[in-house]
Amino acid sequence: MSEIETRIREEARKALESGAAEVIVGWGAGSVPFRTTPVFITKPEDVDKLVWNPACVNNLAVYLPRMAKDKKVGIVAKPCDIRSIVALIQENQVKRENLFIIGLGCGGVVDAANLEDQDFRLQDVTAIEWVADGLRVTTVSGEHLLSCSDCLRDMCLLCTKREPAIYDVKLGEAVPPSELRVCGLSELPEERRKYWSEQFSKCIRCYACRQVCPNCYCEACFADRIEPKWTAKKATPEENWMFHATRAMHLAGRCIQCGECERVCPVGIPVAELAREMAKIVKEKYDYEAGDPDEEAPLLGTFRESDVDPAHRSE
Amino acid sequence: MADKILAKDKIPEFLQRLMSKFTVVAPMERKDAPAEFKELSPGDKPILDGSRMMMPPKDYLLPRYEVLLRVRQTGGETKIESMIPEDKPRVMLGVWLPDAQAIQVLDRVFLEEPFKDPYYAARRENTMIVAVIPAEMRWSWFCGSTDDVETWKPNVDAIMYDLGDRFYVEVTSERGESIVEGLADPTEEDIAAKNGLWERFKTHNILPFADEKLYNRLEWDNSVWEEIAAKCVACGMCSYMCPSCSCFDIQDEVCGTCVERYRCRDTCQFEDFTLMGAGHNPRSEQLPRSRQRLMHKFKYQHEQFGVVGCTGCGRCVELCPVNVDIREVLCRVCAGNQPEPVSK
Repeated sequence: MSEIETRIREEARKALESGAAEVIVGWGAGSVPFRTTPVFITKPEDVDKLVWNPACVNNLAVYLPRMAKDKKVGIVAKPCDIRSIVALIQENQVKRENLFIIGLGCGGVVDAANLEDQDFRLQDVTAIEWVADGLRVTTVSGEHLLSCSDCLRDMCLLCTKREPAIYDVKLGEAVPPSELRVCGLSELPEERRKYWSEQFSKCIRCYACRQVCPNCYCEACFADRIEPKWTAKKATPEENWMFHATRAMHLAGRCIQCGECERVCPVGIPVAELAREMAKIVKEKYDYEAGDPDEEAPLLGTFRESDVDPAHRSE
Repeated sequence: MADKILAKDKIPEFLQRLMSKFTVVAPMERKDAPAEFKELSPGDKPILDGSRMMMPPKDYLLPRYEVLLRVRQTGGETKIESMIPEDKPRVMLGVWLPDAQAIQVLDRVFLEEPFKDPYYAARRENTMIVAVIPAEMRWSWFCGSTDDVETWKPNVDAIMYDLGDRFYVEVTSERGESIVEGLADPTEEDIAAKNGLWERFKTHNILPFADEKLYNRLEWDNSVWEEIAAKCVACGMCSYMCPSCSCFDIQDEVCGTCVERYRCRDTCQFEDFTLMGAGHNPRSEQLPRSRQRLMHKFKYQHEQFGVVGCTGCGRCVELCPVNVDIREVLCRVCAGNQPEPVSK
């Protein structure tokens, strides 16, 4: 067991005992060694269910809008999860005083699919853990070492913000990225259109991307509305465009790029890539970054004289 | 019924021969996405060995989006055009055996009188199913824990066992004979290899609930539902990817000069699934929704049709965003709700 894990449990116990939190949301052991599952701890004697390991991928901030309205909630959170929390606070979805944040320095988390790409049979994997120079994968045939670039989630390979922005307790140190991946879409509009047409045509409209998104908290999503009917439920390429493009616009200046949407997509649509593009535009045009605690208000909730008129293309 | 051997280097000829008699439907590779069942064109190279994650075969038999009828008005006259698909002889190849068994569940829903569905029937009734047992079992499969898999064999027309450089083709129905015409006979060694693979399939991931009559154990007020509901984010992935989940929605839409009535996927996991016109929702919370899906599969469908609604294909196990592992849930239910890890 890692030292961080022990300290998460200690802090959780203290928070529950002192009343700083009525419930702690964290990661618990998953059904298999390469997964974790969200747990909700209410009793100090249950804190040993909390874990911290390379499979702690879920952004648990998704539970906060419904949980932390009227009670004190403790949450174990990675830096990206904390940026979600900042955005939720700025959008008045949760109150800072209702939260007890156990913030973690991070070095990225692991996508189990990457283990399969590295020719591991997931059936044989018995443990995964961080060691000094990468990820140790223990299988029935022995121990294997993987470099971070071979096992981290794509989003983690792009991430430079590995320190928690706000917290009540900070545990662990950020691990700087060993190799920062850059990604880029073609600049040509027709190529981009073709690319996204292909991607969106795969969508089955299960809405997993929306449901895991901490910032998709609308009580009635436009996609579910019947009057007016913004988009039909049928999974056709046109309707899928409407769904994904509208969702991307709704998240412009709000998405903090945790990559959950992309992780959970069962048909491999790079949803986060779209979000990254939006974030890039927002940064360039408005010098704004979602999830930054130094920003006073959400981008779309403020007006500055210097703001670019979105209806006017400056180029 | 004589079993045969299909050498993998003979697959192009095999497909060509089948395609001269049938519309052949098989999983085709897609970029960065699970393979999908498609009607093959000459020269296509389908994935027949079941080695990769694929969309469930229901996506072909019960499409995610299907126009049922079109209504047109011309010169004061209203015309209704039914869109029943062509009924033609088809063969589905490369269907994971648990997915093939899941088609049995769909058949109960859509083919039984008096509510036979003409759309599904047109695609299904004249379709032979050739199942596959891959050389490597997936970690998420738990087929032998949900049912006696021996009873699944007669429900398909043939089973292809992946023996590396060749498939052992076991013919399990009279009409399945027409698939294997011209193929070589198996040797003793082939038969032994096939039996070995079947044994591995049959005994793969046998979990503590395997011998339990789950339909007698699932209780309406089990505390496990509350736990699932707390973490469930209410997406529809488990049902949309499930090979036996069949719930759909029907909507009318104006399309240019006509009205289109179409059918598309729906799921008990969505809040509006049970929302009534007047505003009442009998399953307004996640708990009854989480309970419904499992009770339906393991209890209600068994009571209604005599088949188990889950065949252990493991898609929901692999894909659930919050790791609600259906196997763990069933283990807990059968162990009197004590936490019991699923991994060996």
